[in-house]
Amino acid sequence: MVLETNIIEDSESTMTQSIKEPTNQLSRDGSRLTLPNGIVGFPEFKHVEVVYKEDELPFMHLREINEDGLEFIVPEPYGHFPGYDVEISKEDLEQLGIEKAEDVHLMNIVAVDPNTGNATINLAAPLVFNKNTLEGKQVIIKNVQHFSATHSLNAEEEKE
Amino acid sequence: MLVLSRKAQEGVIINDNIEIKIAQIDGDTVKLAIKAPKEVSIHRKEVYESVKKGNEAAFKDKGETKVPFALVEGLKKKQVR
Repeated sequence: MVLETNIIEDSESTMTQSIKEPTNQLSRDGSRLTLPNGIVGFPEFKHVEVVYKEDELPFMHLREINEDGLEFIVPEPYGHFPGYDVEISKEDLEQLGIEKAEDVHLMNIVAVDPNTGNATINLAAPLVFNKNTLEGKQVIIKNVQHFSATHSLNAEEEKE
Repeated sequence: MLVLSRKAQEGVIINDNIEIKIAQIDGDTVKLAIKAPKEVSIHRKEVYESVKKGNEAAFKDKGETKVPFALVEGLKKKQVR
């Protein structure tokens, strides 16, 4: 199943492209990724890898490459949210050396409430990676008002 | 926190390479113009705080990293649509 995600640059420099992407190789080949500035609130979360268990797919884990490092749940990004058009600023794209939408790999952080088992996904601040350099950062998208940082993933809810 | 007063069109310079100017004052709204190197991120405070809180809630302690079964099933169902 293939869905489109549009990456739209800032209005000052307009680059609008659609990308169609099946399951992304970047997630599944054990690539080591770097977040030079960490993520918001966790500047030390820099050297990370993606790991997964077959029975948890499409959810994976993004974790620090050291013994007791931090770990987050991330789903494979494409194929779940039609209409998830992210606007990323020119500055953020430049900082990551991203020149076209095909270079982009998105990951969204999932938070699970340990008491209720309810989960939400942060659509407002995806982790944006450059597929070629394997470097990324957590980007607060420019059209942040359209997407929730706590979008519910619960099965019972019908999303619009 | 350093507190100082500026009038419209006046500014401050931080760390020799960040400039904040009061572009316009309109009633209770102040428009800021900010110039900074591209690696310096700038966000509305409440947006930043909400993302930070979200990340903190998402952080899994070692040993608590199992994805709830219902969640996986739920998302699989959505995928099939």
